[in-house]
Amino acid sequence: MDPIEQLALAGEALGRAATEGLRRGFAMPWLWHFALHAAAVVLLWNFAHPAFSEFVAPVMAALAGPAALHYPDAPLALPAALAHAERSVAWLLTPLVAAWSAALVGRRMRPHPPGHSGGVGDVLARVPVMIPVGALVVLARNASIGIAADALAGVHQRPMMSVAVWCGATAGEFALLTAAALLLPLLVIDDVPITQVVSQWAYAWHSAGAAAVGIAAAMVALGVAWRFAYTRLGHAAVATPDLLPPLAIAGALAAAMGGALFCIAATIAYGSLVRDQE
Amino acid sequence: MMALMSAVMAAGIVVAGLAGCRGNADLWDRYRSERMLWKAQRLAAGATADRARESRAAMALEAIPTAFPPSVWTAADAWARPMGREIARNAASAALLRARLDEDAERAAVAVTGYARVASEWGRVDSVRVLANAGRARCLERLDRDAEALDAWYALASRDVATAPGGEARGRLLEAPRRAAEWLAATGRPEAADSLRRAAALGFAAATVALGGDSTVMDVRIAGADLLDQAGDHALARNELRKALASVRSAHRRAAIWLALVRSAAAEDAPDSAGACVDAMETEISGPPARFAEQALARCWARRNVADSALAVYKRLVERSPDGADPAAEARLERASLLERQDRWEVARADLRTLATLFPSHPCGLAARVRIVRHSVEKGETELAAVEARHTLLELDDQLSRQGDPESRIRVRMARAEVMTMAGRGAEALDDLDAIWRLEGRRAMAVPAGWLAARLADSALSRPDQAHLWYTRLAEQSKDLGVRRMAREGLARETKH
Repeated sequence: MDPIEQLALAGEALGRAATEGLRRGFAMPWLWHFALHAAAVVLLWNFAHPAFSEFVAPVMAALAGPAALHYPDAPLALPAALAHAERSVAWLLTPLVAAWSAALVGRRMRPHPPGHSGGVGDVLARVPVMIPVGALVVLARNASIGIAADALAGVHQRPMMSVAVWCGATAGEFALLTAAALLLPLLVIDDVPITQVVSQWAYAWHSAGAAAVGIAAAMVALGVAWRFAYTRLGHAAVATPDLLPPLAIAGALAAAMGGALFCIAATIAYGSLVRDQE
Repeated sequence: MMALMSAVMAAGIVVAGLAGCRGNADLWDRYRSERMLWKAQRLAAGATADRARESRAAMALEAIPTAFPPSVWTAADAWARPMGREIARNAASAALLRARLDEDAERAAVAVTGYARVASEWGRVDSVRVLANAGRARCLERLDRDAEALDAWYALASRDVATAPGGEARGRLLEAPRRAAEWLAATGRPEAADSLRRAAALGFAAATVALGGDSTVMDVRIAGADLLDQAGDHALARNELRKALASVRSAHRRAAIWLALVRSAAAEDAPDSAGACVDAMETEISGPPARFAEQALARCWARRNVADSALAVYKRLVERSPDGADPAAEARLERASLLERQDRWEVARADLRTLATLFPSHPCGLAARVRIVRHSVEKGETELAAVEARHTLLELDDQLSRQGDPESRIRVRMARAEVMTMAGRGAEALDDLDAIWRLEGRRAMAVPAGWLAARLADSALSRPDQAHLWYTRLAEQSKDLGVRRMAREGLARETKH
């Protein structure tokens, strides 16, 4: 397929991911991802409640310092505490959830060979390959998002430099997501051994590179728009600290939806362009 | 979203309850009290301008001591726990803020009762008790219950600063002897006032030794030196300040001490000492404190009628002050007054005109305009005075049509009233001032308008009925004790005549 067709297919894959993702249960892993985050927000928000304080208050103090056990410091420190907690587990949790989601889509698209269910068992079997690759991608993406956010924060002091850094970091995120859009189905559906990842990725790039680029571009655009809106909302909510925890839950929901969209669309596009061509 | 969160939380509570978690009840109570207090404080900020908001703030503040009653949280077992003390402090602060809401809304009698209740119910929270007693003293002053106010300030002045709580409460304790002495002096007992000042200064000096390396020692020394200055013991005051200077490193605090040193020497009418201090501080201090110090020195020279030295300092001050800075305007006005006293009116008038051009709505710029007209009136130059008055009124009317800031508009209208009086339109001026008072009676800015009206009615217009009305308004409605006292003196004079 030529690149224009690939891009059209990427758009169709994103549309199918958005409309069929929840209906067919492909997004179930990401719902769990969201539920975990929401539970963390609710617990940290209510750290002082006698039902939780025994074990949550020390965690809150460790994540955001002892001052965060007071009001209004607690809700104000919540986004930073959550980000801190998320940084500690994202490198492990996100690749696993992404692999699980991709495996569910892959199973639906083509029956697996005997012994493969496309479910949690398969995902666990791919852990030795998924974790190192996925962790690298997640850590690098988080770093690029952090650099872009820092650049935006300093835009009033050094506008030219900030814009240049922001563009560089966003381009880095785009490159990472493009690579991940091919790597994820490659590792989860095709069981590629780690030694052949590079050569297989080059082949996948040749067949479905433009579709991966389209999906990554869409995800970067959605992510940038959401982060911008989220930052503005966060600044506005500082005067009303009780709005910050619901906002954090909305952030977790948006992250889960974005993750589901990306994983499902990338797997559908890969399945149509690479596996169906073979 | 909220439903989801509530469901998750309810599930968590059930699970935690089944698992036997008992948690930390004090942590929860502290968090709740902090949250309630924070929200109530937000409501209370600026609530006096909005009756509905004030009522909501009052309800929010009252809810805190209801939820955390003093009988529970100042009892021995709660007080023994650190978080218990914090909860008591939060609830006591809410009760204090509730009384302050009444004070800010000019309900002094209600506030007196409120403060007294806070001091008795929350007496165990020392800082709140001090603040409540100071608030009660202020409200007693406002109600003109002289003897009780004096007793209240005396009681605060007798507290040992070394063992007193810090923060705002310590500030009130440092202020108490000054307020008590002012009362004594105002009621015709200046010796008792000075002796109280000296005794308090001695107490503060002892407290500085006890406080040792505490960061507030400098504030205590400056307050002590201030009291000694007011008692006329300037040398002792400067000695205290020098001790403070020797122990302070921060440039900001050193600037405050240097300025206090210069002001003390100026208050003693010792311009040489003041000048030496200004020279010494010049090497390390710049900015507003340095300019205020030079201003104090110039005024000291002017009081001593050493015009050349005063003019030299004023010149330096004008040259060094940034454009638009208050000291520059004040220096120009004071220099012009000095030049006028020296019979150098042409130079003075040029200075006044420059001032009026550079600072059109600043009090000094407006005073300069009025001064130019007044000079002609005082010298009997009738025609010139009429021309100057007409010209100035046109300029002021033009300024009023362009000025949007309410405080600047009041200032311009006051200047206009003065010029109108000099132009023989006193009754019109009085009506204008009356309009200002009716519109802005609650603002501090309205007080000078009231004074001006009383002065015009009393002298230029010879209208005793109007003068009586204005003195009565000031005596009854002004928040400022000094203004009320002077208005009462004015009323007494009127009655005598």
